[in-house]
Amino acid sequence: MSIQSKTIPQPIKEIQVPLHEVQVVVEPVERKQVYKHTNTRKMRNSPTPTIRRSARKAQEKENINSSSSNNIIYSTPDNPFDVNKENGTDDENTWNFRSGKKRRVVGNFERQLRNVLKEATESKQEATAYLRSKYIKSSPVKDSFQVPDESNGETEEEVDELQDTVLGENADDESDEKEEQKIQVIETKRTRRVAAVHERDEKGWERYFADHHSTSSARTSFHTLSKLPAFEQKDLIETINSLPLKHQDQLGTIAKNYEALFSQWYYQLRCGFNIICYGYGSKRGILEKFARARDDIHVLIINGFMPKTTLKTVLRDIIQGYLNEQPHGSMEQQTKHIVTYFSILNREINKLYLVFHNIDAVQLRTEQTYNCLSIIASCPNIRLIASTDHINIGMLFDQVTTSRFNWLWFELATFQPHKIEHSFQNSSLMNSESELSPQAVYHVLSSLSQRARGVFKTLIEHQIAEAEKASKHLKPKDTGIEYNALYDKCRREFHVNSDNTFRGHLTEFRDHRIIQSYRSAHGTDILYVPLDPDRLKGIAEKLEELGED
Amino acid sequence: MTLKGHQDFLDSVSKESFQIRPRPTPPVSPRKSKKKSDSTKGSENDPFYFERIGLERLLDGKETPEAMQLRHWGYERTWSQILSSIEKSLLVENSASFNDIVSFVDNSYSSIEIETSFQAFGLPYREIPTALIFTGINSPDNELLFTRIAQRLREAKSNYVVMLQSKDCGSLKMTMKCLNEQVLASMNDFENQDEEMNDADDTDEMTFDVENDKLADGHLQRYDMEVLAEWFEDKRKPNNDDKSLPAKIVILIQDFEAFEPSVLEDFIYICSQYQDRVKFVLLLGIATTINALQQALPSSILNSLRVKKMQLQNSERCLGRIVTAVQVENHIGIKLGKMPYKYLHEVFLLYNYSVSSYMSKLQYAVMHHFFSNPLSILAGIDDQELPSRLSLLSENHLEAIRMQKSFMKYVEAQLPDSDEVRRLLEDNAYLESLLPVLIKGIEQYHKKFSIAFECLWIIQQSLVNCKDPKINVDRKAKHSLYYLAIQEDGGLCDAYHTQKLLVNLKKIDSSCLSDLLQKCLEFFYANHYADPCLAQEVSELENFLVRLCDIEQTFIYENNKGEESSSSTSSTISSTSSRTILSSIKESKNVVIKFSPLIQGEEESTNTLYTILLKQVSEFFDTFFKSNLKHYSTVTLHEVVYYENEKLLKHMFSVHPRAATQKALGQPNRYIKCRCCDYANDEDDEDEEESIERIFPTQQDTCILYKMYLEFGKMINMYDWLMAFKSILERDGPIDEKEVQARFIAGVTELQTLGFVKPTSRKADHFQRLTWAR
Repeated sequence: MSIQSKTIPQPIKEIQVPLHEVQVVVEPVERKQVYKHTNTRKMRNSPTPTIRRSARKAQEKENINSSSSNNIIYSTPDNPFDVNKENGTDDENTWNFRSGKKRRVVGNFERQLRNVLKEATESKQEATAYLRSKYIKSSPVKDSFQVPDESNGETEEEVDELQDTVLGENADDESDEKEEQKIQVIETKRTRRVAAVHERDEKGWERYFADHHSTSSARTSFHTLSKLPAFEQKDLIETINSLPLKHQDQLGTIAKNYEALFSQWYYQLRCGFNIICYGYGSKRGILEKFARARDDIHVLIINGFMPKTTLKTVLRDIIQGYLNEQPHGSMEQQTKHIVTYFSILNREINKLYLVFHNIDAVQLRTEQTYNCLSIIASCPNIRLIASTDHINIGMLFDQVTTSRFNWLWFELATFQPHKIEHSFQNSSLMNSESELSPQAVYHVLSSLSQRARGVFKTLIEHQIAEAEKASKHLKPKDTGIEYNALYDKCRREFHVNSDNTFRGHLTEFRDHRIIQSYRSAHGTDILYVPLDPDRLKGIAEKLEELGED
Repeated sequence: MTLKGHQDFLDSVSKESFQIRPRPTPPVSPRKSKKKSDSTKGSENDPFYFERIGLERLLDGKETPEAMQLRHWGYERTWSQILSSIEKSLLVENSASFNDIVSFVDNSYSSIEIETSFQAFGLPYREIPTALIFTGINSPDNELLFTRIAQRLREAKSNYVVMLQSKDCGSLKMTMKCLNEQVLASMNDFENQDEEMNDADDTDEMTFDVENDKLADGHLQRYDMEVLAEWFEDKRKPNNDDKSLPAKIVILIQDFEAFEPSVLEDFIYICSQYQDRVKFVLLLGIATTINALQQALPSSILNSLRVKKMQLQNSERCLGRIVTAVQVENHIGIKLGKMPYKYLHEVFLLYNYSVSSYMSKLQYAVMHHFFSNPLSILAGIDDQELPSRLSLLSENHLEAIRMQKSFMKYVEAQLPDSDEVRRLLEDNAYLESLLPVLIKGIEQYHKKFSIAFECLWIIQQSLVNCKDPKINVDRKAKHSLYYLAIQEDGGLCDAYHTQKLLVNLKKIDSSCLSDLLQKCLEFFYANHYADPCLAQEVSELENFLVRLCDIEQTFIYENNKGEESSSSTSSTISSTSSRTILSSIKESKNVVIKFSPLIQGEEESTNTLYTILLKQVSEFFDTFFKSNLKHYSTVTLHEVVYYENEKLLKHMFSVHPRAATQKALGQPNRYIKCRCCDYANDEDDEDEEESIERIFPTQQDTCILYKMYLEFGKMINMYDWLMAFKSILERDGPIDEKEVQARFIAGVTELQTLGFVKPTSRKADHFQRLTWAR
């Protein structure tokens, strides 16, 4: 791909190509073809700056109808007057308008390109080496998105291309100075590019619009996690806990630095402020240490990350633990009661310190909770120190609660993993199907009657059989059985004698969430156990054992 | 799914909460609790007491416990002083509107008496007198004011005062219950006050049975308006000759917007129906505009209100008051320095208009000043305390003083006298002997500053008020004026605004001038006449006034010759003592003449005289301001009094949790300064911004995932994400599939709790991206 002899516009054209290429890498494989086409034809084409636009248009259309992409690019008339137009004010408009789109195209690559331009590398060799090193080294993001079996050869090609482009533009800049118009075009391009880079860094929202309002970006592949081996929650937790902590030493230093703040925190709490800690990382360890650092104060640690922690339990624990009373009345009344207790003179406990882990926990996010908590926190003899993880924590408090809380904000970026906190959450990745563990099922069944077990066994045997019959992997959902079919089967095997008892068993199963059901397209109920066949087999074996006992 | 029996206590979590009780140390704890409630008396014997409450030993841990104690008390005392002075000035600010409200309540039914005669004809005409109190947008600030209003109204003894708050009034039932309870409770108060009340028995019947919602006498629910009405009528029976009993029930609704409109609608309707039996007065606190009322309530309800609008505090004027109280009039306490003041000022004006948040920032500043500055023991004290404080100063304190920038400047100023400099730097005793002068100097500066500042304020006000088209000055609020004073490095005296005022001063006519001079003099007399340092200024101002009178008199004399004995008046003025000048001038004020400064030269001689006078007045003020309105940084040891740590305030109060988290995830290396993920190791010339983008397999898993996340569109395929993650991890060598998966799940769960992604059902195994900005 030599460049020296070419006319001006070609490099411009060529610049576009790597940019598309960036997109190609990010986007799925089919886009590759477009790239190839452009690649081969760009030599003989006499493009104008409109190419950029047309190519983009083409891409948009191509998303709708990918087969016609080839034609569209070149069927756009190459209008020489467009050059002038692009230089005018019209240019800016279209540019701004398009920038959202552009945002996506510009990648790491573009920035490196700009760097090269800026540094104006003298010799081609140097540039090649530079680019090559840069591109290969510092584009891990892209690497990661490439389809694993993609060869490195293409990357190399890109580099060549890019570097050609760069030098080409430089060379042309010098050689064809007289053609002012065209140089202007280049200038515009360049400023645009610089602008684009700025946009990239500054305007995340541009990206937002690009992602939401262009048809192209919504594409993702159709891979699903079912390709992976199944994983049990317990296993998961064990594996996570057994992992070595990265940067343990450094994290220790960070934690120590934060611990140095304890006395300051304590003084600030005494002076009537409440403290809230934000920042990335689990803050539980540090807050626990703070709570236990002193032995002369009353501290109540509240584990907000536990799903069962609610306003009700918090108030109950305070009233039972410190007022020695039983809670009654509405939440507001209880709150009032607590505040009155801590403002009377002759009370047993002078000051109460609340250490509240994860005040932003999902189950706490109600207006009432923060209203009551803020009233408690505004009581001069109750102090609150809380931690939060969510990035939009500010939205949880309105003006009134903010002023009652009287927060001081501390950034506590501990980088510690949220091991404990997340052990209470069922990861939504382990979606509802794998939530159920065979042990749980076994546990439930062992406490049920022989007949109920029979019904369950019939169901899972059906599921196992269905799964084995099928040629491909079936989801548990697809191996389910119709309500009536199951009822018939169970009756035949004398597990149930009437519809009522059958229903009763099913209700029991449902209550323990060991079976699930959905309405099929025919309007009948389909019942299934949300486990894969292997596990079902395991359960069936255990049921046999149970039956023998 | 709790984890039990793990590594240590931190990992065993089984309950929602966990109590830690103090270790029993019997003899100490009761004393301490006493101490906490009343810490200004006596000293704590425990030498580590102040460290235990969180104070740190400053001066490299060499600070004495006494000094720490003083810092702690210094904070408590200073803050309570500031708080009370602010509260006082806010009440003064609102006293006029308070009076309005009280008089409205008092007169609410006297004017309606005529209307009630209409009711005799059977007109369905029942209006509730209602005051709409426009409070300004900051509802948290208003709580104090409404309590004060309620207090004032209760003092009047002619009203029952009920405060309804939206948090207690979720439904009509609760609202009515609140109303009844409060009225009956306040009634009991009245009874306790007057022991000779006869009908105590009657009221006993009406007391509530707390356990169930019924009255003791049975048939009525405790939230029935009938209860209130019956009771009220009972109280006001003609045979009840106790005139002192309240006649009206005043209902204060503090946060109108926060109420459920339907509740209020019903409530007001019921009130209006009972209005012929019970005299209600409604006070509605509205934070926004009257539109809120009109939109919330239907016209049928609005018709039953007889509305009067009232304006409560303007929070900007409150700020002005606060600034005056804290920064200007307070001569010895803590003040905000240049940048912190700017920060607070801007947050107030540009963000929230919230006085309470301003105060809490101010409190933090004061607290931190005492917390972190060992020299703060010299702040906020009067003359009597100074010697004892000075005796406490250790060598380290003196060293700290020598380290202060302003002290260094002071030393530099002494440079020609090398002996002096050496003594300042080396002789502790000498420095100690000098300190009272320096500390007094700060106080002196503030005194003069506050006078000059008020003077400037008066000039500005009179210039604005004189409404002469020639005069062109901006009206600046007090806090903005102070902003100028503290922001301009040259001080307020060199500020453009001041210079403009002085230029405009040369254009005013004689009546304005005499007005202005009188006001200035009044101010001087009222506040600082006794102060000897201002004697010269006072006499000069008096002199100006006399000359102005003279000129006026001459003018009159010349204009109507032989008519009046003007010379006698002028002589009397000049002969009288300065105190009487004001009064005598006020008397002679009936002469209405106006001079204008001379523009064309051919006018009479009196006008020329007047122009000269104006010029001199302007010059006088210029020099006066130049000497007294200097910037505070010119004062030696101003660090003792001025708080300068703006960054900390910003960290504490203006936070960006999202940006912080994004930074931590995107650039973990800024926090974890490790070598393994340091880009600088590989390549020196790489520019920083670029290398931030790079992903190292040694980084935290969540950071790796986050960086990939940034490149995704609005939907994220989990499988692809996982594969990408795996490919990164595998750069360091092969890795167990299960481990990858576990780390991936842990990382994504973290991102999910942080709020970056959420699961979506739109496509199988996809997550939705939630943030875009970087």
